[in-house]
Amino acid sequence: MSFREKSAWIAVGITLVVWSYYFGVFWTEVAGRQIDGGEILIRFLVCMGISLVLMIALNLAGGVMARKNMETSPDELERHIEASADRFGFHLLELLVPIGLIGGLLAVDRIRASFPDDPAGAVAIIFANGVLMAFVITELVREAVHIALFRKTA
Amino acid sequence: MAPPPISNTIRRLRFDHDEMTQQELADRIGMTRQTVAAIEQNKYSPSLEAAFRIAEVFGVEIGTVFQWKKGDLP
Repeated sequence: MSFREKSAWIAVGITLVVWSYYFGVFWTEVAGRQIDGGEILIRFLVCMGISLVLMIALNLAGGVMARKNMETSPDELERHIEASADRFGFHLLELLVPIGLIGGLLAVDRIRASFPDDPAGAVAIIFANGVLMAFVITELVREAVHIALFRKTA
Repeated sequence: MAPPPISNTIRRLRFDHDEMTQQELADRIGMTRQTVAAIEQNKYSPSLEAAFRIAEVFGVEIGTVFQWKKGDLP
């Protein structure tokens, strides 16, 4: 397995675990009508920090075990796979962001009614997390496409 | 997706060159072993530059390494 395929597996694993937790808790709180902007921000920063630290540490460990430098530039097949995955991810993002925004706009009144104490804040937090979720899903799918293409040529 | 209509003799050429490993070939053409394996198994068509580099390593013409399967349309 090439170093870049290992990186894709690491990214998928970490994204699934860390961000499933984050969005699981977030949408549970939304469903329970108990969102707290400060808590969400802290949870977001902690999840982001954990993701970054784990990704760097596991990629470094993978690189050391494979005796490969992380800075080594990708070869033509890896660039080809990267470009295909990027194209797929970009199209998915083009699809998800408008769906999220339109869905959010349609639900604005319901959100405002569900959070009478701070309707504007709730709308902003839910919109921001919806967009964030679109980016996370896109990244997850992009890395999964990487893996699928690497497996196809293995 | 159908494999590209190109065959190659990389496996035999490696054998003829003291059982050169895929990793050795990869190092000499600046690629990963996985990419060399994909080319050898006809799962990936290399760029023209990479094809020339492979031929250069074995000291043969490019047509000795890669053969076009006549009549196959993409």
